[in-house]
Amino acid sequence: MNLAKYVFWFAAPTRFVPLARRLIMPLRVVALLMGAFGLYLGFGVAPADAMQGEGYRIIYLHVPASWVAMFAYAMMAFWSFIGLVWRTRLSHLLAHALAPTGAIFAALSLVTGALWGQPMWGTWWVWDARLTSSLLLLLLYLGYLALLGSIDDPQRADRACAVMALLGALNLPVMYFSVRWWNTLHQGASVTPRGASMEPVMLTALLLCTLAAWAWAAATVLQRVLILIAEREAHARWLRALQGEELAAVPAHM
Amino acid sequence: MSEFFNPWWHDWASFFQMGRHGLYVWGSVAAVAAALVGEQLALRSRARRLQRMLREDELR
Repeated sequence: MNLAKYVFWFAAPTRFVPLARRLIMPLRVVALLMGAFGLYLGFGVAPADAMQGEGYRIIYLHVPASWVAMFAYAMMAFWSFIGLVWRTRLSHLLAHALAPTGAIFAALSLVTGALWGQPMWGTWWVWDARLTSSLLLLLLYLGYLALLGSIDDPQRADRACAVMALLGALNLPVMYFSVRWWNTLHQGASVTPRGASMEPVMLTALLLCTLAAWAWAAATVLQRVLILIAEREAHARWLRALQGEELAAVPAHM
Repeated sequence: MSEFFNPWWHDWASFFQMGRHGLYVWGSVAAVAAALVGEQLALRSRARRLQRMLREDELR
């Protein structure tokens, strides 16, 4: 049984493109429905926090943004690894497509975090482990995009960015465990695989908003990867046409 | 279950004020909305640019 045939079934753009096209609209619908319900619960129904009052509701924006930013980077590193090892071009394009969306969510995580921190902690920013590693995550995304833009040759760009994404992935466990390893101003994890120390309505709203954010990000990434595939193919066609012209310019008898 | 459909705010004013933190909460909402809409607009203009390029290639 040829397992590789099934594992790499969607590695061919001819199969991947129709799949991606079919997924985008359903993902958007899921995102909007879950987001609407989650925000209704979070902003409308969930009770105020005992200490923070109503201002804690930024959590329904901040936590989803942070989780998506982290998860998108993990996906970027994953596809980079696949692309480096198995030389599947599409894997690199998926990583490139994840970067801008991940960067935006990382920036949103920092901005909403600052807007939450100012009234609650009395400061917009502090150089504790969680915030610093989150800023590093944003800088890694921006560095990836800068590297991608700076290398003309697509294959070299893919490889360089893939290596960078993998090295930067070392930041992810640091980010995640920062509130446990260090003494941070940022609070510790309230939602863990072992359980959540949160009221049910709050937890439901948070999970809905997180799923909505994930679905929205996924739809956007798929939109972008379709554009990237078309851009790559156009570039390859242009290169071939250029080489064709150059060959035609060489006199036949030489 | 009934708590799921009972809002905590009794009038719109308190909803917009969010305790004393209205500016921060709604500022965050605005930032998220602006970022997500902006990303969509950027993506659309990138797609349009690509379409224009492909059409020019075909015409040549």
